[in-house]
Amino acid sequence: MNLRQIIESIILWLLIVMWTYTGISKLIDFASFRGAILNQPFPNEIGEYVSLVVPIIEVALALLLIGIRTRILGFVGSVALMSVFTTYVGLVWVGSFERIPCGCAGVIERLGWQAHFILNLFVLNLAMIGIMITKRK
Amino acid sequence: MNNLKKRIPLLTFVLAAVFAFAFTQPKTSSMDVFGTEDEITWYIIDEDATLGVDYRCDQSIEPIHCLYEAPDRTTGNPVGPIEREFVLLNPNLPTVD
Repeated sequence: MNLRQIIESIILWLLIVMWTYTGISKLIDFASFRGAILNQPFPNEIGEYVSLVVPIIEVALALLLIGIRTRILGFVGSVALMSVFTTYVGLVWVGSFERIPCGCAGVIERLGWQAHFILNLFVLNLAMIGIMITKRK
Repeated sequence: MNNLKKRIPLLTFVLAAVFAFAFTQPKTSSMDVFGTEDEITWYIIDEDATLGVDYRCDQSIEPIHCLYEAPDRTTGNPVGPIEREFVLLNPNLPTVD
């Protein structure tokens, strides 16, 4: 097993763990997650869909990453979703909205918006490296 | 050995799912909490009140909390982290007499 394969495996496992854990935990404690989403500075009509769609997509990405044939799609989806998350967290952090909401649940609440932005950026970069390594095969 | 290596991603998924079920507890607290915008009128946040619909908790520069276990900031235990302010969205929320 060469270095590239080791790096690919580590990135793959990290993303699978992250999407699986966050997606399933949001579904288990759906009421708290829904409340945290509705507390965000976008219309509640959008928030209702977001609170349902996000955990489903997260679990779906984990499943795509498991399959060898669907793995590249899982990496691309991970980049897409992390780009959306990172952009949103960045906008909240710099005060682009009329108010700064609290996360009210989960990781955001413990980390704060700045730390969460940096973490998201790190994961986004991992997913992009995953695409580059997998494409080279 | 190759077979096992191919199954590691699936095992990772299963392990992460088990941890998610083990470490996540759905919100089941039936205890009412209280929030106020002015420390004069206290609103009762019960099971029927929804964050983001009936009230909001926004970040604040003040050393206060969004919710408290009793309708008094000095005697009531705070719920959640500091520097959060309560914002009323639904004026029909029940209040403390």
